[in-house]
This record gives sequence, structure tokens and C-alpha cells, in this order.
Amino acid sequence: MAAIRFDNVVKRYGDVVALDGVDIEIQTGRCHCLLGTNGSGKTTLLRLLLGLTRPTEGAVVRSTATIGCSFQQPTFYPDLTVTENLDVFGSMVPPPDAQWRAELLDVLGLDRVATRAAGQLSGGWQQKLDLALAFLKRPTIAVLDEPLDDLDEPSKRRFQRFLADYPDDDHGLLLATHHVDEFAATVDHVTVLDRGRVRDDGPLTDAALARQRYLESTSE
Amino acid sequence: MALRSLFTREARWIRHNAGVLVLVLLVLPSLFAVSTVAFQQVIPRDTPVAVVPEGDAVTQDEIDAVRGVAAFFSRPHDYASRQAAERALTREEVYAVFVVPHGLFDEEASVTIEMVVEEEMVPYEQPSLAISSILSGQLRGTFPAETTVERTAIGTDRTLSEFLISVGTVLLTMVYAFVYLPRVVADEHRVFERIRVESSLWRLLTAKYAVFCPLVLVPVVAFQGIATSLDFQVRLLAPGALAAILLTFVSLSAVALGIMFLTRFGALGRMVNATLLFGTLAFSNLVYPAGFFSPMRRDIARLSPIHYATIVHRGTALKSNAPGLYADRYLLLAGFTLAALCFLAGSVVVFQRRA
Repeated sequence: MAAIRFDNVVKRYGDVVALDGVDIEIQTGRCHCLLGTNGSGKTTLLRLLLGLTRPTEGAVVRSTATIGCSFQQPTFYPDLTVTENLDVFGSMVPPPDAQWRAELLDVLGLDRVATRAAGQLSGGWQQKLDLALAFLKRPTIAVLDEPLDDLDEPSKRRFQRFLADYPDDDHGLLLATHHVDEFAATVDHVTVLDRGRVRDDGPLTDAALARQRYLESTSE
Repeated sequence: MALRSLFTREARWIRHNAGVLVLVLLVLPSLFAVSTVAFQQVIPRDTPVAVVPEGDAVTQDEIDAVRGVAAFFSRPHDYASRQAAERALTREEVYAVFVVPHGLFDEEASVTIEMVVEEEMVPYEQPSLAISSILSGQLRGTFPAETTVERTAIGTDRTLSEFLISVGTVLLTMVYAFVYLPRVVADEHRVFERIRVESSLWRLLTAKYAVFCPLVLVPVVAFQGIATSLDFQVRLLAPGALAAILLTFVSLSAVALGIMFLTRFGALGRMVNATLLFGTLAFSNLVYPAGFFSPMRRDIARLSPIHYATIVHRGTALKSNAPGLYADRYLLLAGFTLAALCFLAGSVVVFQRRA
């Protein structure tokens, strides 16, 4: 089911065209991977999707989907502890399920640093907190920007398994990354962005093919 | 790294911070230099005063004569009745009332010009004593009648400390509004994107005001506690005084936050707010009567909502006047607050659109 739809979206920053006529659908039940080089328009697309900026032309149509997000720069209250951050953002509607929250903390191992000020955590722990906040509400679509960048190998593997299990009839994922290989087992739909345009958009089960498409977009 | 490389880094830093540097090194010092003209003298010469006839028998020539004398050290304004003039005195529209007697031009008469001042306007006490004394000397021989000047102080005697505790409350509120709340919000700047996704900046600001409006009253309670323990006769917790403090806080912090949003929480915004804080402190005549230093300062002070907030606060906390006496000024402060909140709302919209 389409949770978010981009209808011929154009986004310009002055003379710079960041996105040019983008038509894609983000659906539940799948893990959608957004590939592209630096400056290809991935971040702009995510910001449009999150409602942080508005399209110059076209429309971003959101159904009643709830959206959770993890940013490239971890985004939380640095003076609050991990638990306090989860409490604050968890108290924003809709409230999270307690069992889901416990499961999430277990996957990310955040119990170990629950009482520490978030701003004093290392980069990896900060990213884990940011990921926990993205999934806290068990959103219809979880939007993740380079989610594995700062995680150690064991954490990566655990989180990859969690991501693979997340999509179902009511939930989906949108990942923006350069590292398609890391999500080979998870991704089933790929959109390759190249200089603001959709170069490729379609279902994918072959990670090698996705990688090839990505490399093609970078080679020209 | 060679020294030359570090100089190159400094040159780049200057280029990237050109706006802030122009403000800090050029605009601020220039404003400071220009502002010194506002301190032309230390003896009040331009404070507004009222000139009012003692009774129906007083002629226009007599009023004009006293106006002429008063103009040497103040800016006289005519009032029809003593009651109206004393109301203006209480509202700090004027700082003294000259009551003109009949018989100034009668060689046989012996008349007294009454100079009415308020006890609570402590900084004007010594100048008013000096003025009445100088005036007595000047008038001897000026008018045909034997003329004396009698200084009458109405209201309740207050100490400078009592006067300053009222001013200090307003001043502290200004610091919270221009410095503390913007700093707190700037510290949370990093989390704005998540807030915008999960909630909204409007809700965040609503929460901030819901928390900080009661918080800003805590120092007022502390001030009152200390004032009471020192046996000061001030009512800082009077509803009218609290309303003046809250309106001051909300309006000034809305301006300061609006500037922070417009400058995207950069150093420029902090500098602009610091400039506004010092400008408001220097030119709102919080302590001295408007016109104490120069006509320019009087005119600037009369444009500042904080000048009126201080008067209202002094009136309700120090003079124990009813808030109704200052209804028009509360309205002015409320209007200013509304305008400041609209400015804040506009700056948030711009901030979000530029994101």
C-alpha cells in the first residue's frame, strides 16, 4: 500500500535544482532503498518526505501514515539521559507500546547507557539512540539516513536483522545510503537518484544488480 | 603548520564572519559613540513639568510668566486643573507640578509658587530641591510681587533602595528575555528537526512560554522576600506589577527569539540581542526621569514600551496605585506584546521555509 507518494516533485534552491520531476511511491510491506552519490538529491527527498521543506513544484502526498526518522546527524536532547529522551519523544502522540519499546532497547542495547546524558555518549551510542527514536512509535514508514555508519559490527548485524523483520502489511522502511551491500538481505525496492532525477526505480532482489546501478550512476 | 597557514585561516574566518565583525567592530562602537550625545548634561533641563493655575483668578500672563521661568530647567506643559496635573505626575507624564498663584504682578502682594513632586520619584528628589532653591533666588526681583517657591512632596517617602528594587525587577526580566530564554532555545536548536517531524516548533514555543512565564516570577518572589526582610515598602507581587513583568518578558523574549530564528541561531543573532538589551537599558530611562539627560533621550524613552512598563511597575509596586490608573499603558504593552509575538511567528515561518 502506498503510504507516501511523490508526484512530479521539483525542488529548487535558487538556481540549483535539487530534485527534478521525481515520481516515486514509498509503500508499506517493503524495504525501499534510496541510492545516490553526494548531491544526488537523497537528503532533499528525505526532507520533503518528512515535511521539513516544501516542494517548488509537484506534491508529496502522505496518507495517514506515521513517520519515524533517524537523521544523519543524531538529533535528540543532549542534556537529557537516554531514558529521558525516549520518555520525551515517546510522550508525543501516538504513545509507543511498552513491549515494543523494551524490544527496541534490547536490539540496540541501550539499557546499558539508559541513565547517561545523551550528549556525552560516543558516536555509535548516539546513533543507536537516534535509531531508537525513529522506531519508538513503531511508525508506518521509518526513514533512515545512513543508519549503520557509526555502529560496530555486532550491532550492525543485530540491527540488520531487526530491519529485515520490520516491513509487514502495516509497516515499511525507507533507507538512504551509499552502502547497498550492507542491506543486501533487506532491500526489496531500489530508487537510484542521479543529479536530482530518478535514474532507476523498481523492485529488486539482486543486490549485485543494485550495486551495479549505483556504480553506473556514479561513473558518468 | 606554518604561521602563514594560520594567518590564512584567520583571513578565511574574517571572510566567513564578516557580518558579525562589522556589527561588533563597526556598528556597535559607532552606535555607542553616537549615543553619547544623549548624555549632554547631568542636571535635568528637559524633564517635563506641569504648569497649572491655582484658581480661576490666575491670568494667562501669570501662567506664561511661570512657564517662561520653568523653561530654564524643564519642559513645561499646561494643565487645566491641579487634579489632572497630579494625575500626570503619578503617571510620570511630568515630574513636577508648578501651581501658579494669582498676584505675581501685584507689587503689594506676597505670593508662593508651589512646586509639587512625588516622594517615590527618588532620583528626582535632590534635583527638585536644587531647582526649587535656584528658582527662589531667580524669582526674587523677577516679578513685582514678593515671590517664594515652596516645594511640596506628595506620596510616601521611599529610599533609593526601594526605588531601585522595582527598577531591578524590570531590568532582570529584560536580561532573562534577551539572554536566558534565547540561549535555552538555541541550545535545543539541534533537536528542531525531530521536533518538527514529531510535533512542531509552535508547540515547542508554547511549552517554553508555559514554563518560563511562571519561572520568571521566581526571581520576583525572591526580590519580594529580600525586600520584606529588609523592611522595604514595595509590593512586587501586586497583580498589576506582575502583569507588567509578564508583558515585558513575553514581548522582549518574543523579539529576541524572533531575531534568533531569523539569524538561524548564529552569533549575529546573539550580538543583535545584546545590542538591543543594552540599547533598551540605556535609552528607556528606567532609573532617571525622561528628559533628565537630554531632549533626545526623553524622546527616545517615550517611544520605548519598556519605559512605560517600568512606570507601570513603579506605580503599582512602589506607589501602590491601582492598575486602572495605567489602563492605557497596559493596553500599549499588550499591543506591543501582540506585535512581538506576530514578529516571532513570522520569523518561525521564515526559518521553516528557508530550511
